[in-house]
Amino acid sequence: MTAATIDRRPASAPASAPTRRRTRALRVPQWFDILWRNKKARFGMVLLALFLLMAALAPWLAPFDPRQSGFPPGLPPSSEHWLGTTGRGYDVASQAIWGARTSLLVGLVAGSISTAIALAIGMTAGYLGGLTDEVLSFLTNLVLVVPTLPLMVVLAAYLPGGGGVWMVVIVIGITGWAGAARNKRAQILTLRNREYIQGARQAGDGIFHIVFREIAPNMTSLIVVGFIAAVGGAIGAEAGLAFIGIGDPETISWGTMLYWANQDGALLTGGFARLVVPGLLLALLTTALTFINFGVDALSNPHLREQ
Amino acid sequence: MTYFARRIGFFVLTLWGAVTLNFLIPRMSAGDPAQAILEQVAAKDGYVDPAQLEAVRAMLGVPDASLWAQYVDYLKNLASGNFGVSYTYFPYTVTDVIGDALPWTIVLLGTTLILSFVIGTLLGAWVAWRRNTGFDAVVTVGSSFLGTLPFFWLALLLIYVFAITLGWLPSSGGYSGAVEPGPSPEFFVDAWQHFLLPAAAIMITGPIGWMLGMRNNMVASLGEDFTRFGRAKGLSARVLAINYGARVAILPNITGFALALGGLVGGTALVEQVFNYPGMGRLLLEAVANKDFPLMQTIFLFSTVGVLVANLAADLLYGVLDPRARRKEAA
Amino acid sequence: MTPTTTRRRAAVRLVACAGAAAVLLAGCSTADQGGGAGASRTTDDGRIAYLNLGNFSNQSNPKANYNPFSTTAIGPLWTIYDPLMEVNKYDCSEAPQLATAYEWAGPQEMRLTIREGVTWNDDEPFTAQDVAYTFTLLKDYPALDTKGVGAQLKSAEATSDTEVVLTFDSPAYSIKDKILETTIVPEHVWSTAEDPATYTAEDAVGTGMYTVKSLNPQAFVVEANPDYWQADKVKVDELRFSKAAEGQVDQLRLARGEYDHNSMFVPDVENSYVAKDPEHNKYWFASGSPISLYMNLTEAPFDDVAFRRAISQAMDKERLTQEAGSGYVEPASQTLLVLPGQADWLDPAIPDQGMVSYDPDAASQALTDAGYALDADGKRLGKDGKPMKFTFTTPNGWADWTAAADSVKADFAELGIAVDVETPDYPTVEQDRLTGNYDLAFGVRGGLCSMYQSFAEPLGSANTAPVGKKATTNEVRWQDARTDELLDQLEVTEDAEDQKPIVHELEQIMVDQVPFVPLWYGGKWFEYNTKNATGWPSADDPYAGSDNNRLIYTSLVPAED
Repeated sequence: MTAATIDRRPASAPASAPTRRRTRALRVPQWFDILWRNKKARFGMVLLALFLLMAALAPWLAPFDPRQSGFPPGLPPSSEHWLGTTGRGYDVASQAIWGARTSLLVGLVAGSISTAIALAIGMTAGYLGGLTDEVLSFLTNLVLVVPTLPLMVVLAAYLPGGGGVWMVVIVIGITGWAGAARNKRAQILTLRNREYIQGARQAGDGIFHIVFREIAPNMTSLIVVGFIAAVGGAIGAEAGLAFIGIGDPETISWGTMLYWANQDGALLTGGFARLVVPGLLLALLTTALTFINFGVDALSNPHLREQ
Repeated sequence: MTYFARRIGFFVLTLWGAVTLNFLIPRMSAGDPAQAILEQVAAKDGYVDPAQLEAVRAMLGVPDASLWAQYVDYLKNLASGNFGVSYTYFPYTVTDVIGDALPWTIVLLGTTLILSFVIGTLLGAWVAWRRNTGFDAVVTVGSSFLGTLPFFWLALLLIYVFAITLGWLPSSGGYSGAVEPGPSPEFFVDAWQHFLLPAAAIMITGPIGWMLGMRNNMVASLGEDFTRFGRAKGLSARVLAINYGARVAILPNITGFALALGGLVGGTALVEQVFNYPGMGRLLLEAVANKDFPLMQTIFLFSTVGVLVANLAADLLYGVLDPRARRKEAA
Repeated sequence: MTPTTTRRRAAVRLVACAGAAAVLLAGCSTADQGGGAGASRTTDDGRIAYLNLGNFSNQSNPKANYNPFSTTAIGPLWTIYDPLMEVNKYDCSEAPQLATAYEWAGPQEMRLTIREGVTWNDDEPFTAQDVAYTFTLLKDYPALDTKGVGAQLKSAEATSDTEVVLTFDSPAYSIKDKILETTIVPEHVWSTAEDPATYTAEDAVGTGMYTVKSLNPQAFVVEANPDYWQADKVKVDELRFSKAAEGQVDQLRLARGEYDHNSMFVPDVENSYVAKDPEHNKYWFASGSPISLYMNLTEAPFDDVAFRRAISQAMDKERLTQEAGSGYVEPASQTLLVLPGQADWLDPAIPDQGMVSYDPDAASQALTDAGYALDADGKRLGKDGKPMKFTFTTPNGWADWTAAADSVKADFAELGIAVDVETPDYPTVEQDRLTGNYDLAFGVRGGLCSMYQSFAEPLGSANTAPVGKKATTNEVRWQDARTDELLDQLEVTEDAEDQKPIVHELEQIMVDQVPFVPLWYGGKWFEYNTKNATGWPSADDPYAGSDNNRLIYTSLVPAED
């Protein structure tokens, strides 16, 4: 058991945490090792890797072109159409495989956008304090209080319809940063007054140096957790928006598959595959991300780690 | 004292900002409200008589004064509580229309929110107490997965099983038309039946967030030094769990609860859309689709004010509950 | 551990109790409405107790509004009010209602003979004075003038208890149908309203076959009016309208026979509806106004008639009807007429009833001949030497139109022309089309009983406007002197036989110059159940259009058990 010290140095500073290094041909970074050892995170990483593979290899994995219509509509699963066909005559399995790309893309890009904004605003507000903090906090609160889904619906109506996927990405990105910004600001507030930061300030280190070299590394796990959560949230948001018909229903994503399944009466005509599969895939992908987050949590809080 | 004064000042400023944002956002979407209303007519067979379009425009009296003039009017009207006449429900006022929808949202979401919070927090505390056991693993993993299932997807499946196949519960609506709405026992039973499926759908995933949050917070607080100190002092496990673990862990959850409570005034559009529940969320989606500015504006307003008030209440409550917060502000 | 456990146990008990209570209550009370699909509905005196119909309002939480001129009113007001005459949407014949006859004393004067012995449902007598009042109301309040009749009206006068003279500012033959279809409201009630434009007519006083029994946001119920002027023909005692559920659920209800009459769109109607009860579940999707491909005539190459002709040959309408309409709808004739209903008006000189056959090779050749060559990559080049690329805008959420747009896109792709389908929301699409800000779009014009309206709306230069300004109805921006001449003539021709030669020439213009390309006839969705009532119109017995409810409900009889 590591020494229980009163000084609660964040665990990602490698010096004080002795770990057993297995001799391997490949030297894995310590964070990966810790993550991998956490069973949940391991499961999450493997699952995520599978999804990434599925998305990357879509052109070879999918039996048909997802936009190839002309198949008899509403077929049940068969050897030719593994998951049957949609109400408009597309192959469900192909759409599901290609849909991974959209969901992952939207998640990653929108998640990145909102994390970046949250970081920029949260850190600036937290570190600089004073009037900047007041103004930025005011802005954050403002965005927080506006109801998100209706805001997305209205924005989607305002932005030109030709945007399709990218419009949805932008809309999710710019509406989802407020909560994370608050978190980061709160975290920075606690770190700002730590001795080593005060020491750095007194030593005359510039703001950027302090923020990026001293504070940020200690916030890494928080940022990573926030980013992964943002990606998961964006994936879910895209599905929700697509389901109520916002964005371009012609894009191939799991959300639009559910939208069309609803429109085409999948429950009525027994098209369970095309209703159940996209939902499950969405859940699994988000679960993978959540589990990885469990592991990242363990990185920052040794009490949550598994030995 | 400064803590409370600052919080209230912040509230007023944010309120003004929200009110202005609410004025601008609905107007950002281009397009003619008259056309939006006629879309319903057009959707039948595509053909729309141009005379009808003109008639609708005349009926609505869509404003074309300058944006600033409209804004000033808007503020004046707000101050006197006049929220205007809805385009979709012309000639009924926005207050009328919202008055119909608000109680349904508050009942459905309020009940499920409170239940989710209580169940989630209790469950979270119990799981944190049993942390790192098999029970903990199963519950955490299982509920995480459950929480990632898309809500509307779950709702559709529930409808299929309970409403369509088994026929136990109605598939949509807030009440059937068979009983006149009013304070009669038959109506309550009727509304209750319609309440069950949406509530069940929400309750499947609702408590999960609270549970996981509480668990994490409590595990953290149980691992803190002061807890270890308490154990060293010889306090019983039970006292430790409640006083040192749960009471500390619950603070952030309370703030979250207050915020969520404020947010429910805006309704949950997705829930109400799938179940066709006559609440604020569905009303808002309808207003957006019909470019019903007066209605959109007012619903946005109610929901943001709700969140702001809840925010203020949470901040004030936090100030009362956690002396550190008060001291921090003074520092 | 103990306090949490006991608390948890209590919570579990609470949940269990609630669950049990729920199941119990669910069992003993009124379940999903519309049940009783099993029991017979025929009453002892040979009438039908009630029929279940569908949606009655476009609002999600309908509020009472019985003003027949208000667009936000309750839907099925045909039950409460009557027009002068009911125009049969299938064959355009006229069935007298509150007016028994009419005649023209010149193109600007119409004389109506009003039916005697009719009473309002509050027992006041109905007279010609009410008719005159209604028309004057439409003239005085533009917000109520949903058919545009009031705008053209000069005066409406009741010359006796049974005679009304309507005088118009300009020739009115072309709006005859609109005049006849005007709903009549009672003077003695409406003259007391403070502002007719915002009047909701809560008392719902009308001359119609039903009166309001109850209204709440979920259900609207009307009961038979015993004083109706043809009450003996109405055999259904009660009509129950209910709020539609979410798409699929509603379709399921329809398939289970919970609706006797509905007009919802059903995907895969044979399997999801008819197959569930082949003996009773029936449907008839008649053809409505054609939906056409609009090419913005102010842009090159759409202003080139050779280009347009080639495009009309390149549209695979059969495939489009399969993909967009699930095969329920029919390909449209280039003449702009709705066939076979309006076959009477066809110009015999036009081959194949104006059905342009699908011939992509000929189209491709024609394009090349017209100066639009293909480059090495198979892309079609415009006269400026650049590959052609257009945008197709169609409303968001209209799945069948989006599918049709995709079909058109594929047809254009065959010719080497790239098309991008975009789906902004409906008001934006409409706005863009009216102001001429589009390349390709769908438009719905034509197919009306009034030939003048059918052709003047899309083709009359008076109805258009330069790009950037809103046109009234001529969104393609067709401006042709000969067309305008013909339309002017048509406007002042009263007799149908005299109108035919003019209409023939207009059809020639459509076929020859292709101002736009009618693709398919919009389907009039109509499902009916013969379990409780028979006598519905159908493809075999099209005695009325599927939306002529007054004609239908005076023809229904109880089903033989």
